[in-house]
Amino acid sequence: MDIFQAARANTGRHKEQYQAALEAADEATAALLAAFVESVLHDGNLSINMRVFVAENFMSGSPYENIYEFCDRMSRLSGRDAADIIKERLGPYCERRLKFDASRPEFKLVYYAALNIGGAGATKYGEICVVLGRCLEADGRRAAYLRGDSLNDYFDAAAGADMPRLLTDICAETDRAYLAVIKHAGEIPRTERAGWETLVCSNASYIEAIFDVRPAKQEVSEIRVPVASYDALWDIAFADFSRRLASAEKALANDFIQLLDAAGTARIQVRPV
Amino acid sequence: MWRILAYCREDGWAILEHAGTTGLLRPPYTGQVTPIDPAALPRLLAEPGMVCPSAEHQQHPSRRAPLDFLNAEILRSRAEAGRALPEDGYGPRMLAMAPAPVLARMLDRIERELVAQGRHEPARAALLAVLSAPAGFSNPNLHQRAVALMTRMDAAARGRSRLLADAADFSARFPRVAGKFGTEPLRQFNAAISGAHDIFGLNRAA
Repeated sequence: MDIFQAARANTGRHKEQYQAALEAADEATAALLAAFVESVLHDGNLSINMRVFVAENFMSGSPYENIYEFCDRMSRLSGRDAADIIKERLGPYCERRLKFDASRPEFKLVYYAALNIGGAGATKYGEICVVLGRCLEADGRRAAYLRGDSLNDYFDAAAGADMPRLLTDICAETDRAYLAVIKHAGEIPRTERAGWETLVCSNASYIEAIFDVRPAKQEVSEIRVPVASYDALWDIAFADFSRRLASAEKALANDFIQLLDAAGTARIQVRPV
Repeated sequence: MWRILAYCREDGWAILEHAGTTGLLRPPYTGQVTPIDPAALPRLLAEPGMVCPSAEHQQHPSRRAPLDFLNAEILRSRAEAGRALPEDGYGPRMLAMAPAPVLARMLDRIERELVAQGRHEPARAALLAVLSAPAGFSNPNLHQRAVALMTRMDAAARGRSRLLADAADFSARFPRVAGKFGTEPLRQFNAAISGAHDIFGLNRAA
């Protein structure tokens, strides 16, 4: 059984836990938990945080690669061994990553995103939050969701991945709202509704989505940028009139211009949030 | 000592370690390094383009040194990929794609940081870019504000040159200059500045 089959096999389990939580909660808390589920069902999408350079490449049609695909491509181009390239990329964390990914064959073939009900996502991975609007499983793909980052939260020093826990927690797309509400049940009553999107996906925490088909630019429904980063990007335009830009600013401006161009062509809105 | 743990050659994102703290350095560089949880490092390092630097480029003696290294790497990598960065023209290219709220914010900054500071040349270039931008010329409010700022700068320039032109008794104010060049060349010089509205426009006016 692979992780996607395990996720399917868990269908109903998270909903049962949610219903148990509803029964145990007082009326006001139960109403909030139900509203939270409704919010995830209604607004839930997948998002991938990318740096401007990566988002520009993606929106311009370059294939989105996981690290193994990238290293294989580099290996073909350079003639170097792909394993050496991975070591070079991951440095001191190479062993951990390889050990984790070796624990299931599908881990080397998947792509990662996060459940998102609004907001700019986990910006530490990139200020451009690319929102994939459609339902993955409706498109015939396989998707699985975990409470947190698989590489951090499900790492086991001996086995690579803590598979018993991972296979218990994992759920399919139909149950992701219940996974989210169980994860955040303690925080939901004391968090303003406007803050729910940050609960679900932020630098501090996110629900990881794992899927087995490469994401494509045609699936993008929206691009969100945190206001501070959005302003900082446009401030480069102002700086260009008043002083000489550094190379990093020129590269950022150039990539941002091309990202806006590609998004405009695809009629995708780039929105400060 | 500043240590680069990993960086991206193409865009200059870097994970730095300094004084026991690990942080994220991202362009545009403001001198700020955002602290990050070391638990995020394995995932960050797997992000597209991130590489660990070779031993000779890991340690940097000052806060400035990693920035110089990263800026140089960006130029090199873009050139190697056949995507050399254009030398200039970023401001006008960006503003041509800017939506109205961005242009409004731009006008605020032009007014506050350029016009009010007497930096009329960059202000004029920026205002022309705003006026040329599709969202600028199609929005009456933005258009009027930009034109008003242009007019304000022109009025200020005229005021400055009038000060010179109105100084009828130039010889009395600057007797040594008048003695050296004569009164008539000075009168012509004043008139030329006045006509150009701006001392930097003197050659064009002449």
